[in-house]
Amino acid sequence: MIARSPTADALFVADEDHGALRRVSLPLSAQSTVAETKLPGAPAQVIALGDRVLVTVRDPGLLLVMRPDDKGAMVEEARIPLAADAWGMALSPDDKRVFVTSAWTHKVSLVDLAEKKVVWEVDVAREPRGVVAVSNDTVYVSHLMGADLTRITGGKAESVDLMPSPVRAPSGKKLHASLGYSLTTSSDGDRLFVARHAVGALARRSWYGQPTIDVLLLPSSGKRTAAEQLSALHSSALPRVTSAVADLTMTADTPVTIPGRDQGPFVQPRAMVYRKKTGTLLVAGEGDDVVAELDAAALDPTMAIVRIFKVGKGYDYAVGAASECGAPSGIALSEDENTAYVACRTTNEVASLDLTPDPPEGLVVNDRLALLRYAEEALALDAGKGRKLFYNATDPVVSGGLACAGCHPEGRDDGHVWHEASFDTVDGVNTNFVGTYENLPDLARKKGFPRRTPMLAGNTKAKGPYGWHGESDTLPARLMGGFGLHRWGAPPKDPGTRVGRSHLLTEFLRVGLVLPPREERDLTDQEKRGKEVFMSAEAKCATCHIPETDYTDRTAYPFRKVAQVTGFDDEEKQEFKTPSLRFVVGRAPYFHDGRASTLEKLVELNGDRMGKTSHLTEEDRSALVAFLRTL
Amino acid sequence: MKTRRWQLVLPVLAVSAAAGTLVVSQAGAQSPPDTAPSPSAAPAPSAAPAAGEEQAIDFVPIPTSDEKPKPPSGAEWQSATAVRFTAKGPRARMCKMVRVREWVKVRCDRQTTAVTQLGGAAEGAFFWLPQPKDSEPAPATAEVMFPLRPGDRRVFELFSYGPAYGGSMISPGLVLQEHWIAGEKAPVIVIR
Repeated sequence: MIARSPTADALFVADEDHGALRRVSLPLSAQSTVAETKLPGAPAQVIALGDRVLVTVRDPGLLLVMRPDDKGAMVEEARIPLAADAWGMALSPDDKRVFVTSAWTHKVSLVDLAEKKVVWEVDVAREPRGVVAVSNDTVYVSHLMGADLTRITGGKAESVDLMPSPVRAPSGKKLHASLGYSLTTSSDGDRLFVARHAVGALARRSWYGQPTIDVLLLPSSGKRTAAEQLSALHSSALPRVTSAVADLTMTADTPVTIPGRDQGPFVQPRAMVYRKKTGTLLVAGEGDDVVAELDAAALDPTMAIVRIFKVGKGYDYAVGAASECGAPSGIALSEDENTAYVACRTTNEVASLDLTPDPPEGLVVNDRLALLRYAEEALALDAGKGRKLFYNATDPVVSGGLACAGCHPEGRDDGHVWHEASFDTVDGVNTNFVGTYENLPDLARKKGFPRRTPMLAGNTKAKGPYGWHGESDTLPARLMGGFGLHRWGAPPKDPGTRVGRSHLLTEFLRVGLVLPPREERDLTDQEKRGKEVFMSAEAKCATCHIPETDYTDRTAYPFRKVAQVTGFDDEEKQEFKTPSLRFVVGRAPYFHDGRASTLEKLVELNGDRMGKTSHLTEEDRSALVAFLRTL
Repeated sequence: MKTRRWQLVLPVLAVSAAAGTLVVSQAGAQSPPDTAPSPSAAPAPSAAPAAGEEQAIDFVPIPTSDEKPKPPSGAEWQSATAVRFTAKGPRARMCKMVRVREWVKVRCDRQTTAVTQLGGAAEGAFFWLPQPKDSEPAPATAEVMFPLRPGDRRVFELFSYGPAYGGSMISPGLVLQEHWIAGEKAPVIVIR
């Protein structure tokens, strides 16, 4: 989102919310000049080269090559079409080529900068985001959801196993990961660091898991023949010794068998850079408005905190989020690595941080060097406040430690099936979500009901009802229900504040979320056939998934009981509301319990449980899936 | 501490402090008792770090072999060499590390309520917590000892004393991490 010019005279900010590239003069101060260049779509990332600036544009998918004109204004030198939702970028070591991820369309492209054309494009797993080049033809790609990385060599993609937060995983269990926006390498190319969220990672009072920097030892350094994860596996049988005071006061909430910090050094990692002179990593925490500096030499950098810069300030209880430097989402370093520049998305600001003082014993640094507002809020007043809340994880009313954006990144979804369970905490018995059933106290003897994270973008316009069972009449009511579910224990007892927050968030969800890109084109013959099947009286798909109302009738129906998915408790209610099929192609796995990993499996598993599909030929099933992909 | 009495309890996974005793936990419950050090062979937990400037951890090459390493004797610890952590945070300024052969011992002179291995291979790790003085609620020091071998991956936490939610007095503490990548000269040991 932010880059420093090699000549050190400017910062470039990809301002997604205003569809602009901004050039901010250095040195940074509140009076720095800001030059705006409108772009053909919302930008995602920016790379500054000696004489050019590269910018990805999400919709339409583009790589823009920009350069300053005679008067210093940025003008387009080239526009290279890419798969829609172009997002992450990595320059090859020889600076001749750039690798680009396209998130929603799950593609990675290689662009030759001299020829200004695409060399290859490959299909990869859902939501590729971060990308780092380890050679001129090899990149590693992180994904917004899913534990594994993708390695692409010479245009061929393969999956790379990477366990999220091994030291916090329940007895070696491979957890789900989300928020894989960023990855980077050490200066010698020996280590790859992947910043993300380990869903269900063990911590005291953990419902959502923990942030993690997972470390992969790379073969490209020549020290090994294959990539190897640097990890120390957790197990329940590891040794410990406790003092008398520990024995007297330890509770089920405060075991000593897992790390003591109940919160990681950052929440919702959004960007990361490697600081060579100190061998440290700087990570932007979108949720808690921090930049955390971590020791990259450690086995687990998230447990080797150097210091935490609290960049967000001005917390207004009426809004619940920072009014200064909210949701840090990009980091760039000065050439001497003594200053960090931080782009704060929800307040449209850039802050600078002094990295030269010794870290304090208390770890927290509250000072900033400078702060510049580069644009005013793009949304109307309440929607803008709702946007701040949506990304903020510190407001105690909305959730307990993870923002809406932590599970619904950019209003999309984390691809995870959560566990909804009622269990006893220090606040009494409450119904909460947890990432994995091992997060529940043993005494609860529960595994919870499965609840697949729904996608929000494009699914919040209707008046109601909302919820898997249609249990909330309106969206604000559903949000207030969520305030109680998304935490450990009971929510604050302040009904007025909850109502206020729910209306601010409703405004943002309805006007502020950006829909994923969708290609406007005529249906193919196969898709037309699929539409005929969908609309047919025999299949009955359109009876409940009504096209005129975003492919849902918003009504809950009882379903024939099927065997429960492993790792969850049996459902008490078998009535589920018809989900919208808008954007269904990009939100696997399917059903409330995630039992179908693809649309093909969804149709195959269905039989006659929803409508009637058992009579369809293989050809018609493929056609139906092809049509569903266009919605 | 006016009177020190050390008790070695082997093999154990978790041991609680009993009145008037010092607690030792030997990691690696799978080890048969006869392979664990005898009390007399166990390292002297109160051994102070050697005087003099801290050395690099590989000031002399660290012995490596496929054999299970034998823990140093108390006498060996008395002449142990103080060695540097790869990185040490300001909260760990009261922590020192000494090395004998392929063994290191980390001692932190700060209130500690529990010592736990959070991840990695358990075999060979030992912890000590003294019984606190009457006026002190928690032990004033803690020690962790473990062998160094290529391929190591270990994470420990030395929990602090302080109020946590729900009435617990076990606070987040120092995290000690060690790893030794095969082919490299020495391990990386970080405490923060």
